Amino acid sequence: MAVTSVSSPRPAGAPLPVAPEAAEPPPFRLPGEHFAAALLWLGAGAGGLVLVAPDLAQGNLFEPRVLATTHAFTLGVITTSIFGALYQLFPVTMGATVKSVRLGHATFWTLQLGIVLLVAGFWLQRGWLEGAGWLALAVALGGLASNLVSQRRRATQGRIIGGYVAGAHAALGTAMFVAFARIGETLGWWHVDRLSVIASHYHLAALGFASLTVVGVGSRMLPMFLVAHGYPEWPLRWIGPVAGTGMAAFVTGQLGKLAPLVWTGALLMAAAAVLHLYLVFGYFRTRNRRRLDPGLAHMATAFCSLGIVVPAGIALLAWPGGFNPRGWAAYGLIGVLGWLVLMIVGVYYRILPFLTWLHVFGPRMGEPDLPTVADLTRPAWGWVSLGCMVSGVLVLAPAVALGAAPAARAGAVVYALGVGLVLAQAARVLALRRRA
Amino acid sequence: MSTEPQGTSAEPPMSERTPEDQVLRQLWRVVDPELGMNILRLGLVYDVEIQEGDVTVVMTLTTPGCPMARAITEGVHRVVSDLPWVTSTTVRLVWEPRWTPERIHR
Repeated sequence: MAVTSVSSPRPAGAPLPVAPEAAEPPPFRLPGEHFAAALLWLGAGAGGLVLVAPDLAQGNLFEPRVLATTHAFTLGVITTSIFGALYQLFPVTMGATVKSVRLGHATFWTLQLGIVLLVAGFWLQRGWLEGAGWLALAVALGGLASNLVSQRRRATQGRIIGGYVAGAHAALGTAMFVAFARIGETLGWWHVDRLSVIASHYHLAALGFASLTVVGVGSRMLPMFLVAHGYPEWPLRWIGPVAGTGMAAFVTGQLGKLAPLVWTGALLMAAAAVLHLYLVFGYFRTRNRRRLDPGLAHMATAFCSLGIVVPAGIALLAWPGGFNPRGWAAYGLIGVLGWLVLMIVGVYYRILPFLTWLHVFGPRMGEPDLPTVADLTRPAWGWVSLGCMVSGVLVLAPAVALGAAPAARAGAVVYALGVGLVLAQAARVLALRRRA
Repeated sequence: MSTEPQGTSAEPPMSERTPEDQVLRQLWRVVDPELGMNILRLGLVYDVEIQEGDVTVVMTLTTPGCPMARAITEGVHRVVSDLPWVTSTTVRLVWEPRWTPERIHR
């Protein structure tokens, strides 16, 4: 009985080729503990932001509490989320699963130990704590690389995504190496130019690691979320090489004090970001899911932030008065909070209910009156949290750039309210899972 | 053949429907929870073969890396196996022809 007509060049009666078996994802506990920790770090980071907002408005970029809060977001939220998401996505998108679940748990706890030590080291101004944290983070990165990223050699599909993930982790390793140079200076081992090291570290981590992971993983997730078809895929082949070349030039230029190389690198990184935006525009333009839910709206807004941060960075590099600490602080805020954290929150709005549905209702597929994934969340909370987080950044970043400390704190408070709603929504969804 | 099982107010009891219609009615119950649409309306089912009590469902998914793959295929297996005359159910997942949104029955 033919249910639908199957147009195919195969001879009549020839069987359709069977899909290869997908690799089994690890138990939910492994990505789940990453997600839970990342959400706790999101709360901690938002609290820290309220405290340090006036420091940022005074241009105190290297104030210890500012560095601690920054790393609560970059390592606690962004890196922990990415590690957790890779454990879940690698098997289904690439057909290659984690080598050892036990090593995965060990890597998770080492990562968390490293973040706690590093953040505490910054906050308390203890160089040895920073060093110990760095060491634990390096072990955690090595653990993930050997346990999961190396498995891309066994991938049956998704080789481009695997390339992005591997490239992103190479950038993270380089960012950590550069950070080690800075920590060594704190411990009095050697001298480095602080601004150059931090500029290199930030771009390697934010663009090289986090953004390239978003490009690679997003190339599978976003079309799936948006039910997009027929978008141009060619930018995906170029973003990685252009961004990689740009980062290499930028970092070499920064550390070697070679301005033309810094500019070449910056322009190439900007070009990669523009290519990424063009790719994503294609996803949204060809989507079949016309109405955006709060999760997709968070992601769309994050891409708008990326569109703002790129020209802002170029403008700051060309700033006639030289280094502008408040301007760079605002740039960092838009890059971390407006682009990366908002993107990750959007992904949480999609994958937490999805994984909860899969766990609670998946075994009952086919029964009448099952809820949909969207039924597990309260969209109103999502829209309000988006409004708070976006307006928080929209107040905070200009306030920091203009040196208005009270306005900066007000923006941080509004942002933290949005984060509170994100956490409440996540707790509500995860409680469904626990009740089941 | 229409993918929508024919239903009227004067429907015959389940036992009097054709085996094909019974299988379609069962598949109608398997809903993609992300899109809120059942797999027949989505156009995911390419073929159903019935030989005596052996049923083979040839189907695809909206994307090869679909994380819902196992839940959907197990759901198809379960609902078809619920039919009393079915002795074995096979779900064959294929990626060719690739699913596109044009396959959705709007």
